[in-house]
Amino acid sequence: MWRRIILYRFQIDRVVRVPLFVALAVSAAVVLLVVCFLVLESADALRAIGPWRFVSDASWHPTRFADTGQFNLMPIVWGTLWVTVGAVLVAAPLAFLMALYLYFFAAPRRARAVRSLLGLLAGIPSVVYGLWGLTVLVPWISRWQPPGASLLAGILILALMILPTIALLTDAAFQATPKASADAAAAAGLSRWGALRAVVWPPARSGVVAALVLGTGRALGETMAVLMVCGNVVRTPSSLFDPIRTLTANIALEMAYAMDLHRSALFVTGLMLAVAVGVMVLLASLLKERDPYAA
Amino acid sequence: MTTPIITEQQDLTTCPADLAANAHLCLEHTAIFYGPQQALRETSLSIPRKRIFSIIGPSGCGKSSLLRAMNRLNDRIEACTVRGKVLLDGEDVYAAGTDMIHLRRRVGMIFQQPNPFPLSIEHNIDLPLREHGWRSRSKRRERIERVLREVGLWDEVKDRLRHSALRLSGGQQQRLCVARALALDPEVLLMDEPCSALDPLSSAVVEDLIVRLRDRLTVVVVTHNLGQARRISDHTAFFWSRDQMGCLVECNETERLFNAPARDLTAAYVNGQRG
Ligand SMILES: Nc1ncnc2c1ncn2[C@@H]1O[C@H](COP(=O)(O)OP(=O)(O)O)[C@@H](O)[C@H]1O
Ligand SMILES: [Mg+2]
Repeated sequence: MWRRIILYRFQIDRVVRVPLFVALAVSAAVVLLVVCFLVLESADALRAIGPWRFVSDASWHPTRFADTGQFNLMPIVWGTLWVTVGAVLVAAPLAFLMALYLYFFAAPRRARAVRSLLGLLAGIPSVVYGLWGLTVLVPWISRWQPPGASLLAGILILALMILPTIALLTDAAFQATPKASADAAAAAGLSRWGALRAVVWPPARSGVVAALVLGTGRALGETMAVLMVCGNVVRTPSSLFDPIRTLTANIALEMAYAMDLHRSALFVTGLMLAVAVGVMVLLASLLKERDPYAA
Repeated sequence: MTTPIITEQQDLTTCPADLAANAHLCLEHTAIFYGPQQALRETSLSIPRKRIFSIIGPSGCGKSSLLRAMNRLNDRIEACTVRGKVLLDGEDVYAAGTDMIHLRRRVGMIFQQPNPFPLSIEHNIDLPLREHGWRSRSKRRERIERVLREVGLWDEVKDRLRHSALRLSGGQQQRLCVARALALDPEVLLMDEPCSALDPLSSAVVEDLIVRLRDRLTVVVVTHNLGQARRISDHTAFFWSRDQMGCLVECNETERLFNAPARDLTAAYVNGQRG
């Protein structure tokens, strides 16, 4: 009898393990395939033009042929970098404050209402944000500093888009504080600030890093909204009011008519995006591992 | 067999006059509710200064709730309301305008599950000290060493003060929690089954520690271990639960309560026949 139960358990273990492994393998394979595809498609351009010209050419005027075109992607890389970093710098502190408010100050009913609102905001399609940016934000900035479609507009729109995501995930990380710890902090007479340092932050830390990674990833990969509000001029921005083009917008704008080497050069753009995401995930894992009190 | 039942007319809030004289903590008609459900019947109780006071009774009779009313930790539970008064040195802790941080400095608490902060051993004590206005780093250091010595932890951890407190054993964690509470110089220490989650050896160590606190501060300890209550406490209150509502059955000097209980129910419980 017992042997049969144990055997049965063992079989369940096996039965569950197989589909789990398959799911894992499939996702790993998909990632690998996407990267392979990017590398293969960009290989033509990388071979004919050479990687060096993508960072050193005079400008971005791609053509079908290596000798007639200019292939400098750096202004686009800088534009992407600044708009992403700017959006995260604006959104992250606000999101953090919102999560603090939800954890420490809001009455439970109010907190629930705010959370559903944030969930709603996180679910609005990016094109809607873009539309709002195009019709409200850009004219507003333009009155102040023409042309309006600019790095600043991109930063603000992206910040608005990733704010709910980061806030909700940070809030979830805070809410995961064990009740016993929270009681300990209260019983020790800690202020809210003290409780944050002593019991909320240590276990929430990796979750907050994950929230930032997800937010940054979303900002980096966002296409429609930035395409609508950033102006799409290929130039390294020298101020917040300069128009920029991002890597994603570059692909979206030119894919429809790009051919041969031009097309392949757009895949190089995609490759750069993938590299940027990889670097970010690496940085995040470093941040996570530097946990001084890990038990 | 007739079950020992307390009638409504009987005075449930027994409390000898000699106790009330030297009272440090006084409950006056304290009742506790969770939403509409009453968890503790109106209770009056005096807890003498610098003595060990134990609370015994079966699970669910409101011992934890009562303890958590004394430092207002119940405030953290939205549905929980406390009626009546909880007097600390004659002042109602539930009075409007009570400084909660100050209250919790004066009234420390130890829980059943050791709950050190997920920080280093040193920071576990350092952070509360800083929060309560200890500016000088060297004074904090001294205090940390002193309380760790008091709980007998210093020699075990002095070389790894910067390691995570979560890596300590359960017994060590509980002693660290006691040290953390003692660091703030509390007048009252509330302990909610401080030994139930520990192995017998650690349990004995913590028990000795509690005994050493006698004459220094007022200890209120909830325990399921009747032997422990008998060994360490000066006074004991016995609670029972009826119709899902806790009530005080008898409160007396520990010796008297165990050897010559006034109520049949108490006698049955301390002799292991009920509960
Ligand atoms: N957070 C809570 N919400 C609702 N009811 C509670 C809560 N905590 C305790 N109670 C109820 O109050 C009663 C007393 O519980 P408790 O004080 O924990 O008893 P004890 O510590 O003596 O075991 C129990 O009936 C329990 O169900
Ligand atoms: Mg309890």
